[in-house]
Amino acid sequence: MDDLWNGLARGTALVLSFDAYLYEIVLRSLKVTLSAVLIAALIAFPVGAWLAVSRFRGRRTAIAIMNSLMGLPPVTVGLMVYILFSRSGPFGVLELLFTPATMIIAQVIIITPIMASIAHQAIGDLYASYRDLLVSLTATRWQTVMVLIIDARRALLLAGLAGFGRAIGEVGAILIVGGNIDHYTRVLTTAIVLETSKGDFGLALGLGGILILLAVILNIIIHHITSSERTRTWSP
Amino acid sequence: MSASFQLEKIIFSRDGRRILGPITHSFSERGFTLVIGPNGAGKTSLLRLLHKLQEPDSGYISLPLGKNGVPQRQSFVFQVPILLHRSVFENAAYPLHLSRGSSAQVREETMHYLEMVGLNDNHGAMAEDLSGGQKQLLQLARALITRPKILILDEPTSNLDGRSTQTIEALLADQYRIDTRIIMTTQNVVQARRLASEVIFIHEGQIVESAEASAFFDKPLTPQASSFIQDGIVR
Repeated sequence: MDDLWNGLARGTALVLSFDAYLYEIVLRSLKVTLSAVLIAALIAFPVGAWLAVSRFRGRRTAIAIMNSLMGLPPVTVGLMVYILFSRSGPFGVLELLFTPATMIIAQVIIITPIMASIAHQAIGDLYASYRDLLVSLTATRWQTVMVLIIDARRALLLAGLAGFGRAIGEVGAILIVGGNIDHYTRVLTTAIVLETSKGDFGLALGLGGILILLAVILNIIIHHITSSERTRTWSP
Repeated sequence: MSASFQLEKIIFSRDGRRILGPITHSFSERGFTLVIGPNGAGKTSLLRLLHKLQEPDSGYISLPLGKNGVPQRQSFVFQVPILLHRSVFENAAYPLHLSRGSSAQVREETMHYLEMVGLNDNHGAMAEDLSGGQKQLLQLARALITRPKILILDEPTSNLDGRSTQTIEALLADQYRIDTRIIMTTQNVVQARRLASEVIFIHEGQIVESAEASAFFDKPLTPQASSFIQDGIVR
């Protein structure tokens, strides 16, 4: 129990003293995760919208696959990305293994299905209510997708936040593909793993505290968005 | 090539239940047609087929063509208003945004149509915050802004109070005066009497009677029509 209290005290001190090492790691975590969320959004939102408005053979199968990909074990994703980008792998020539780039790639693979699935759900609901109007106004497929993405933006923001939440707390995949290299690929979660194994609970708890703080901030934002939503008659 | 709707042996069903048909009917080129009949008679389905919101199971519908051989422009007003989750102004302007983007002229035109339906003071409000009558007026402004040759309305006043109904009827009368072809459903026989130049009476998915309004109301040919005119019930 002493370890916990001592650790918490040291962690708080580290946070309050604006420890350079700590903030470097926090910043890198945010950079990697925000990049991953941005890239995933560019893939997930159009895919979700397209699955919502298109009718083609195999659409149900595609949706089922997308939904089941939500459960991808991050460690397995890490392993696959590792193999693909290792020297003997098909993308080995790019020499991206153990760089932030592969960490972003792994995170994109992990969170894209979640974000696409939420986007598909929200845009599908909106399309159900807009469909007749859009057909009546002879909107093109592109115009249809655009109006749905714009008008479902709150739900899509939530999808982005869900992706962010999952990516920032993820450790299995980025530890494998990033390698937890000091000053280069070390992020919050991998640093916690390292400090814990070294027995430096103070730093580990400080990092953990920041991770929790980020999660809390995230939840406050989500709460704020959803409650401002409730004053309207429509759902995201 | 025709300037009116032609229905050729139309059959339409949903979930295996036949809603309409078989119907073969030629609409007149001009006029204010009221499609009347009890609940579930197939009025809404008929309008949706005319507007190509759905396709018939079998049969053929030819659309009224303009002088250049292109189908004439149609607008549809839904019974339950479908409005974008946007402001009143953006809802009214949306058809113009689709075809012409946004410009000062689009803005001016939109305000003109909002003024016409009396919503210019509400242009910045969210559409979902409007009252039922205002929502229907907004739908009407959005329908008229493209200057349609054909206006199709599905029970536009079914949930509205007297004043809102009056406003909408006056706007429709104006449209009829400038030779817009109007096809509208209603369950309200009194309203049909007020507005119609022609009546189509539907019952159980069939066009039972179709006649000029005065003839229909004065001398209905079928017992179903005469009982519906009398008290809105088909015996």
